[in-house]
Amino acid sequence: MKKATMIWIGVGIVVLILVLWVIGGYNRFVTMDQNIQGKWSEVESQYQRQSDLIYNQLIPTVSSSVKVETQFVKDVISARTAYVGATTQLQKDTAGQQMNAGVTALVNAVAENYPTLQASTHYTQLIDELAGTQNRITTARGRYIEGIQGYNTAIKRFPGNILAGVFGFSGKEYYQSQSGTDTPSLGTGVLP
Amino acid sequence: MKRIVLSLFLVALLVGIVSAIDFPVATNQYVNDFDGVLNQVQKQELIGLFYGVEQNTTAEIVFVSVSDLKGYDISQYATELGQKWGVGKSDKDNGLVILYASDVGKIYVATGYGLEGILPDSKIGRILDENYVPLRDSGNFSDGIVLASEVFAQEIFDNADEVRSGKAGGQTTSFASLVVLIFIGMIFVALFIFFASGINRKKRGFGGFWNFFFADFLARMVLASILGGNRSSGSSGGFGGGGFGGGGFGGGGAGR
Repeated sequence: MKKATMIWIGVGIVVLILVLWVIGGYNRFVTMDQNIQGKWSEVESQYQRQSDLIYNQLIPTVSSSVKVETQFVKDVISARTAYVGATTQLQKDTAGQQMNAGVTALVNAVAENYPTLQASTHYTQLIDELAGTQNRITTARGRYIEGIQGYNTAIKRFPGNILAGVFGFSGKEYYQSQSGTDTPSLGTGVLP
Repeated sequence: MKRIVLSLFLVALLVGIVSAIDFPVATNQYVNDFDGVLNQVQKQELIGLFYGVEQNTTAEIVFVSVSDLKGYDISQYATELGQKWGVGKSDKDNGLVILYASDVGKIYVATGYGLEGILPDSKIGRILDENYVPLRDSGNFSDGIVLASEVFAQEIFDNADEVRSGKAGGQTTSFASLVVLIFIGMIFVALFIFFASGINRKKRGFGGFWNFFFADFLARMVLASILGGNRSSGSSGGFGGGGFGGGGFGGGGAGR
């Protein structure tokens, strides 16, 4: 083979590799993006489970003992209403965390003030389901945040940042401020 | 200014390190009694029990005791430990982690995705209430652990068909695409090597450097882009050690 032919073959291979790299990189960002969306939908489905448990079981169960006007119950109901009405991801997450905090406050209040209700098998099972759901929310939320961190790192790191810039992948925000450590001040009402 | 930036960077680095739980390494597939809460007889009983469960149903149960949760919630610790170790078969997610933490004196049972159906949180709570709590209250919590474990194992035996079949759906697609990608990558690598060695034999003048460049660098690049793309997507599974199957945990379970 002539030298010129060799060079052209070489150039062709380099171009091919570049094209493959661009395709691979683009697909990688798309996959990560889809992954994050999947992780968020898991968070949402667990919030939804929490919301259903509150509406179908928690409120009917406690209302036999605890007055519905109690601040604890009111807080839980209003957080759930806010969740159901939420449209954006941030609203859903904020309301979802409020639901969690409200449920925890209500459950603690019942444990201190309503020994009969606390001792009932039905109520105990409900509490286990609620606690399990809260743990699922924490887990799903943690994985969602991890996914976003990985994605943000990938699009900022060289040479991925060039591809991200060309195809318009931008960084994602996550809700670090509502990570559950600074829970809203719920459940300060007085029990009858 | 430089110093401030540097220290901020170091702080960020430290925060990143601290936020990940530092799990112990599994030493046994069935019983990891790191804090020594069980006696030898109890240990052997659990190992035999869990071995039987795995042989008959493919479900993986592991008992773990730790002296210190390092400030984490026991439910989160058990869930992440199960996920990290990969307890349960990867296509069925049928793992169960029974965790006892001595610093808080609590037990938590975490279910893999595939066991959430037969062992819902409320049922786990009830089993613990009926079998573990009375013995704990009379001062024999380790007997309570063994008794509750027997009941959990029985539940899994009773639902062996469901446990064996695993849940519908799963992450099999990502594995299939990985195989295809590796196959394509191998073809590319083979072509490059063939091409490069071809030059070498026919034309000495083209230079060893370029041959090496094409064969090695290009192969590395293709492999890196393929493997790199896949590494990020596989957050589930996680073969932490101890011979577990790679099952996933979503946070289900209950504790006392």
